[in-house]
Amino acid sequence: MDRTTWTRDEMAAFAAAHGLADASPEEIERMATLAAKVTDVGARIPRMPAKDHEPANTFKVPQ
Amino acid sequence: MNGPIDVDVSRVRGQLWTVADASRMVAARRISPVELVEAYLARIAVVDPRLNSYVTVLAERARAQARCAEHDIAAGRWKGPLHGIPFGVKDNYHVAGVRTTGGSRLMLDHIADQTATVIEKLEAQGAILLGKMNTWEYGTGTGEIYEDLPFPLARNAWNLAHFTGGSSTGVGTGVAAGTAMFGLGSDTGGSIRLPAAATGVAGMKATYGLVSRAGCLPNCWSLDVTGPLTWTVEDSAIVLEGIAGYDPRDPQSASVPVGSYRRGIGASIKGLCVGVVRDFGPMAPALATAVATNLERAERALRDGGATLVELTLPATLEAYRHVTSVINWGESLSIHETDFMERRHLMGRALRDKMASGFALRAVDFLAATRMRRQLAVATDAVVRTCDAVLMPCTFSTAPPFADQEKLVAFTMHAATSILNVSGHPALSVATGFDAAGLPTSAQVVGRYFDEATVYRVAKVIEDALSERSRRPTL
Repeated sequence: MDRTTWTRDEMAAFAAAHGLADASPEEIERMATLAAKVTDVGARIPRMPAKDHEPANTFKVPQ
Repeated sequence: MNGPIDVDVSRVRGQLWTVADASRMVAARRISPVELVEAYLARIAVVDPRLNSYVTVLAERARAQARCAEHDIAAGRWKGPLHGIPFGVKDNYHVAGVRTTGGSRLMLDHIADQTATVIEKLEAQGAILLGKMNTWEYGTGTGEIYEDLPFPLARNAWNLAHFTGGSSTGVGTGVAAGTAMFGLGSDTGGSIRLPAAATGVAGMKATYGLVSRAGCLPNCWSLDVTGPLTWTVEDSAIVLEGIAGYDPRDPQSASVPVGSYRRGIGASIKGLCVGVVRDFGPMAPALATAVATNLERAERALRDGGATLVELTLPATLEAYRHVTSVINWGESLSIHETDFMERRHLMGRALRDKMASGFALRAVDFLAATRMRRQLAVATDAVVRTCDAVLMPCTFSTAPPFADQEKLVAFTMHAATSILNVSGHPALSVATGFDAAGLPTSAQVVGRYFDEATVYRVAKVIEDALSERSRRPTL
């Protein structure tokens, strides 16, 4: 599957499943366009080579 | 000698002061805070209908504070270099009892019940808040203009048909135009430095955590930094000294000693090592001719001052840094505004709504990949920065484009070398380097080691003295 392609129907279903059942067709169209870009950029972030590489925002106890 | 100060607004009206100069005059009781505030209010009344630097002017509050400052100073209780100095803040800083809009229809009626820590600090030192300045909605935008925000667009003081840079749109142009002696902005990917570059002022994004963000609307918690925009590098150091420091109200506040950021101003840079970054990867645009020429002149000024310049290579392309900031910003921002997005997105402007929709489609693993990469990029970037005392690089790749050219507006905003330092957390100052043939300011960026803002100012001051023509002001 091409990860960067969202059809309008896919986006409408995804939006509805996550609480946006009232989105207009224009909104769905725009969301699908943006989702393709988001998916593309997300896929371009290199994955860290080691499982113990922690995210930048790892929790620290208050000092 | 104590006693009343003669007030004659006509003596100061029309003058555009630096904080350093005004401070000396106030301390010597040659001008009064009342004169200064009246002069700035008069300036706002004359130029702001065209500039739109303010969303809310707090005239009576400022006048009352000015009278207090004048009384204190006349009684011999001068509090320091910010006493009696008028300033503005981006309208994402809360002031108790005053409307905070964040440039958003979501908040048009929001009266704050708290005051931002940095404003409390400034007011405790006697600085006088003139008002809340224009901003993109919640600090959000790509540069594209949709004309769908509740307040008129701020306009560039050097040419009203040109872009101010965002998101602290009113602050840069207000400082350049003299509607505020200094201003406070906030910077998630460049929102202090881009307006500074567009309007030829000094914009400081300090080390992440050095300046409190408590009492400011968040845009993206892990990237947001608050800081000053000023006419000169010295003014920036003065203001930073006034606002930096640990704040228990801000969970990311750094517990480090506040330095004397002015100590290096005017000191020799002989013997300093300054790295120069030229390559930002194949997707980065070429520098506009005037920006490139003035960057070369900045390098020459540093060499002439006795610094050694070395070529540096960053560990990743500009695009790679930007991808990391985009993903983190999409995710965190949706988390901030999720309820509004689900229930009131019709009130959002398109730029914010697009960012929310982007966050909506973001996968958790991609977000975490970005934060893992952020940590690695910060470490790798720091290893490069640490090889020198400071680093010189471009800030924006062009001067401020005209509003009519959407493509250039987006390029100015998205293809700037600013987000690199939000990812890494290093201090970075946008400093004016002169003008292009059309009279629009050019800029460069001086970067320092973590918490070494003093060296950033020391190096930037040399560039400013050589190139930035601080006696030249916009004609409005």
